[in-house]
Amino acid sequence: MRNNAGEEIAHRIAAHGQNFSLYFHLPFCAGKCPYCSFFSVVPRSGEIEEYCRLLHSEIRFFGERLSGSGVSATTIYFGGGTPSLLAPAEWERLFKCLRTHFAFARNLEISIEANPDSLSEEHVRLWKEQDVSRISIGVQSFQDDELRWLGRLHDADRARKALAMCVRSGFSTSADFMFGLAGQSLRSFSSSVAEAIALGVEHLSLYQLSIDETSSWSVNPPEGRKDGYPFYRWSQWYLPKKGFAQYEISSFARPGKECRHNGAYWANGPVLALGAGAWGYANGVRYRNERTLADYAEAIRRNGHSVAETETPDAGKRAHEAAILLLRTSKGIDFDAFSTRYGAEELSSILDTLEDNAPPDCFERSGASFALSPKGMRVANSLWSLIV
Amino acid sequence: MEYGMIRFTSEDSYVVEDILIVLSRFFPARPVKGYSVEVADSLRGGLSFIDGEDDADTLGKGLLLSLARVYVSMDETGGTVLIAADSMEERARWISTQWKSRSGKNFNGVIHHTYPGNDWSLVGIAAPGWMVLFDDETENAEQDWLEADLRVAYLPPDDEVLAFLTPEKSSADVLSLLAEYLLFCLPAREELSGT
Repeated sequence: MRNNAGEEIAHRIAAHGQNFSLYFHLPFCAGKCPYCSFFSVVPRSGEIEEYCRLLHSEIRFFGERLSGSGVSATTIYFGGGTPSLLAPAEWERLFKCLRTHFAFARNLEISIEANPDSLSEEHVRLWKEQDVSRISIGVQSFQDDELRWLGRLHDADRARKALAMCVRSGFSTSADFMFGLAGQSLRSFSSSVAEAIALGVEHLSLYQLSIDETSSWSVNPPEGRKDGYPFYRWSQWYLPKKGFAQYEISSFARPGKECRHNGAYWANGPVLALGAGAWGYANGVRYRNERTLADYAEAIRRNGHSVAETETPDAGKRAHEAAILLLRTSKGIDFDAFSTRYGAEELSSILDTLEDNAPPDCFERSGASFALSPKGMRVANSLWSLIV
Repeated sequence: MEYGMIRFTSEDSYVVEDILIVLSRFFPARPVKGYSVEVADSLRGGLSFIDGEDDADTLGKGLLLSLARVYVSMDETGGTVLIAADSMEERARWISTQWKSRSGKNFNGVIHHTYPGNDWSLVGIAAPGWMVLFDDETENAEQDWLEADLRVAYLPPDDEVLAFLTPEKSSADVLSLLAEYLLFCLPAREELSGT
């Protein structure tokens, strides 16, 4: 039976009347990291090319349905997996397809995730020609022993070269780092982050190592993992002194270098998600695409899209989820905007719950907004659990 | 006061915090002579723990009296780390054994009795097993374990305190001010409500 969920998603995005964000999931990795459970596979011969052909079909499907609606893409994010595993020629075809079928806003932001082991000069040259704005590199550490422990395929020198190449080419460059690794010390963590800054990155994403449920480490967790809190706390002290403001729980950026795509996601803006395993949001409806390559291919061939499941949370749940997403950011909850969208009663209920149950220095409240303080960000999971 | 200086390039800016961490692990080989510290009578009750014995910690051993301050001065090509301590000899040896820059340069071990210029920003204060940092986002004094053998105290910055902590100040003067300031930074009862 034909699945019409793709039509509904396109209709909701068009009806929303605002610009939207595009997310592409490129689920291929040269090797699977033992801690990761994002949907990704090590590609067999021809699998990437076939996936890209399906992706072109999916782009055409939504492009045709959004055509003439007046809405245009304001941010595009290619995540993975390892997007840099796609060959430059594949990227060229992908951009051509995108530009044919979607309208782009004038201030379009295009972000691509890349790994040091697969990023090449050809990628960088092509992305520059295609007006890519940001490259986010999965560095994780500049210490070889930590990278080996994590099962990463690159070494520190390769990561340095990748970052330097992106910075030199004029991209706004972001680097991901992890803390809580076995054998990691404050000196090694701090020196990794400092080196990225010295190389010219303008955005940093810092994550506690977490072992996802379906990852290989979830069965046999490694020993020696560290409590990441002190590293995170140190980063909150260190990075502002280097000109990086914390604008989200895990994200620090120089002024004006924040990732707008993620901002759209945290604000519950419309996100049209394409590719296997991708999650999107369209005007009150959350959806996910088929999770395996085989199911994705079959869905695209049958329906033109791969939307597998949709969920329409009730008003209360939407308000609470929106509050949690907004409280990830340093801007927090704007009272007027939140009340208009979710209702003043929901807002009062959420704020009362938080303020009645957590220390006052976890929050920064003004007449117009409510946000987590740096201390609040350090204990964010506990605060969110109050309003889930 | 004695001073050590380490020059670094802009690519090696990690040196600044790295030196602070290394110095925080410096434990003097022999007992440190105590300093006389002036504390107002009304505040002495809060310092009674200093008289106690606690083998599990540095308290009671006088080790916290062994302070070093780390400053930085930046210029177009990099910068200089300035270490200010009552005595630099042992620290210089410690840094030489524990620290090497990525460019392979070691601390030259030269001890100075003056320091150049006046454009020095305080990075932090190192005491054995401790680091003291001034954090713009902290309203009250906080402490945290950084590693099994290293703790950090985050203090809210105060213009007068920071203006006082220039490199020529003796460790005794610095410790006196820090002890007093630390008491002022303890959270008041109403600020702890809800915890």
